[in-house]
Amino acid sequence: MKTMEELDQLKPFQARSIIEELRKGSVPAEYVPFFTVGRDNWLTFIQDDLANYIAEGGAKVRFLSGDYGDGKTHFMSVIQHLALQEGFGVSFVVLTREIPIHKFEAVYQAITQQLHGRFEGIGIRNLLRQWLDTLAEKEEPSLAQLADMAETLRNLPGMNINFANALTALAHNRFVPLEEGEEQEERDAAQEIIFHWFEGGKVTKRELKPFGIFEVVNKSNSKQLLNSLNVFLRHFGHKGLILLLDELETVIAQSASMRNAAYENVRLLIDNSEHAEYFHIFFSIIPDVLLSEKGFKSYDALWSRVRSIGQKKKLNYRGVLIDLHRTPLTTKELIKLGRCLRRIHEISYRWEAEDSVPDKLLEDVCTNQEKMGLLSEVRLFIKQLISILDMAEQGETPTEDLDLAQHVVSSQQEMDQEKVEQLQPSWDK
Amino acid sequence: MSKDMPAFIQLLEKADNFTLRRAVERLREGLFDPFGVSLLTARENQLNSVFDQGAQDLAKNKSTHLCVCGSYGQGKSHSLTYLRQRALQQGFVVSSINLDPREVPMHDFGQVYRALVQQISFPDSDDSLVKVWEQWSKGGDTKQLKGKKANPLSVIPECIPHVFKAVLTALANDNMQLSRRQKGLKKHAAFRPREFPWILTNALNGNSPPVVRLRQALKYREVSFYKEQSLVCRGWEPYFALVRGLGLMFQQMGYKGWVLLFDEAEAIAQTRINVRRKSYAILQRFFCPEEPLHGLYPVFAFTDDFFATVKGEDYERSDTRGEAEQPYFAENYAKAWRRLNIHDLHDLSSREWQTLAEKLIHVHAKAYNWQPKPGELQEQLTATLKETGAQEARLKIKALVNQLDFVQQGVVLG
Repeated sequence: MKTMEELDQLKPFQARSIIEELRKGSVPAEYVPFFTVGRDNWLTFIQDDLANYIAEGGAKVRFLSGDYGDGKTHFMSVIQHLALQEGFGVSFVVLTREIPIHKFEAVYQAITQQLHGRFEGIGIRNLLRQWLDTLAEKEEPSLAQLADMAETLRNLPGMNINFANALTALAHNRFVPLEEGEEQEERDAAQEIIFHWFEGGKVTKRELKPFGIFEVVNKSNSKQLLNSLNVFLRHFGHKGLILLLDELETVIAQSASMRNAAYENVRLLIDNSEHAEYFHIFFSIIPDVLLSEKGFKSYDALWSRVRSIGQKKKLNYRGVLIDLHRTPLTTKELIKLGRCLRRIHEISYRWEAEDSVPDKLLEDVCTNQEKMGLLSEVRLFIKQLISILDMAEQGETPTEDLDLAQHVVSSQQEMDQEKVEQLQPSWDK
Repeated sequence: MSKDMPAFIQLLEKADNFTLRRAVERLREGLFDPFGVSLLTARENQLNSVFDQGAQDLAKNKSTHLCVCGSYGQGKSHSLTYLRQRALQQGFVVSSINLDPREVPMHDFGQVYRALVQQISFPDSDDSLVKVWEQWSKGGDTKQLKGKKANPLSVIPECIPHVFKAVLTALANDNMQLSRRQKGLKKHAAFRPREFPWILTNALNGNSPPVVRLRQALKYREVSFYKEQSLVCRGWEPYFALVRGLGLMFQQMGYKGWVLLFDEAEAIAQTRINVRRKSYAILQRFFCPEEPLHGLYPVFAFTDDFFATVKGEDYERSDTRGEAEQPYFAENYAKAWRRLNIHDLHDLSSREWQTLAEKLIHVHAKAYNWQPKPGELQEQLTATLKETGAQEARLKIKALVNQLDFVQQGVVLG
């Protein structure tokens, strides 16, 4: 997505943070355009959807399928960048045992915390702060203007009354002068309560009552509040909301009742696309979610929406399923990726890598991975390459005595260890 | 070319690109979009006649209902969407909802009512229930009321629960006029006219705003009788009475009645037995009401599994919790529902599928702005239909859309 010239503009600390993240096996979401290659066909149609369908009022749900290491998270980060460029609000949430899809109120909470858009910083707090700043851009709004604004917000189609009242309360909190005897700290405390409510945090109904908010965020209203968030985003100049929900496969390890509740939620999100507008959800899954008996197959109403029949060999780039596993990067694309990473490593550690890690070595790593039937594993390729670059930078010349087969095995072991650590709940770490 | 092709082409030409694209996007997900339904419905004559029969019964003040039955993907949602359009064309008010054990469970009829009001559509406007009622009761739409019934509030039926009667009255009234001096008095501190519309809206929508604030809104909208009974609603009965009353009220307002479309009603059978018996009791009120449900036309979509569950219930079971032993189910529903008005869905004939495929080519081409070669493509779709054989309709349509996508993506990607 970025050219080598643009890549050269990276600052060493930025390059270093990319390398550090990749070394850990994570995706530095902020910088993915600097090392993205291939998958152009998928991206062509996703971009078309964003610009010509979602931004026009459409709603859609898609599933991104790929094995561990196929680059699902990376691909979702690319979508995040595309969506932000197009002017959407975006939230990238990793579904875990603490944020399971069957508890949509927890997912809502994470969505608000990870919200990006046309505002500085991350999270709904920053969005609201910027909105308040915009209201006061010319001059602070009068009481009459605030009342008109409240009326406008309440009348936005699809806007939940509590959400509208909370926005109004926030504006009042900021712009109405302090009453006699009222302290600034009280105002700040009140603002904190409202922010906390927007974030789906625990607030009592009693605390909320003075602001005309009658419901705390719960499972029955969280989807409606998410819809209101989208309505507000559009009111504030965004084209809609894109949700990226990573690792839906965590559902498989849960009990049958939780799984069914989770699948029901996913199904409702799909069906909701009739009423939803300006809204796109991407779920990432591993192929097991489609293949295993505990997967979507176990829930008829969902399976009949996701499955397709006939022409299984062809890929439909507009289809409900984005099958990354069936569109692995080619050797040529991996080498291109290798060159990008080599350049980032050079910038990061201020050295020249091309002599000690030449293109020939990149090719050899690919050939070796291909021989072992692991060419599709992008994460493995990155892992190997970073380790080779690290060794070279520390003075070891990898071209002479590196046993590539042995190197693949040890890299894969490291990745497996990382995977196990990721799967552990946070309290076990 | 099939007989309805010219009408289809005419409809297609009027449609904008986004509307068509949304229809195809939803077909790809195995769902139906209202516009897609108006373009792609087959066998509408049978459905029309069974629905119209019910509408005629309703006009004769008889109770009526309809059950659309079929397996997954056979077109139940499609049929309900089609009926929605037909009912609106005929002058009915329509609400269309999906029953769902978690979000909109039948046994929680308050929640069902909220969903019904949220999804309400009127034949002549896109406005909400509150807006339509306000306009009708305050505006010139009340011309049909003559003589003693000239008061628009006389259309509010007696069977509507007290609180909703009060809210409907308040919505029809204007705010009390207070002088500036009066507004400054402590006794009128609760006079917040800006708040009243949304408090009343929420109350009518079933969202139960705080009673204190509702009372203030009713007071300042000069509802004379609001103190006569409690303003709190408990249980499902008041909401059922409200739905029943609104059906009648819509008739008196000049509409043909209220069509309630319940999709995925088989969800009722997937719940626990204590929940099921409550849901059955509510269904019984729709299917075999003690008094006629004037103006109310409920339509349910069921899979056959639902009726299998109803048949398989243990109607001999007793409820031993109270002092006296009682039957667990209030009735033997398998017996009571033997003569329901059921419309069974069947698969389309191969000729009907061919016509559908031909229409899909046109819709897809206009949705994504491309120029297919219809003859060649029709052959490919025929092959797809053969390949998908006896699969459910939803999957066959998905396969057809897929095939069209393959050809079109070939054009885009070169």
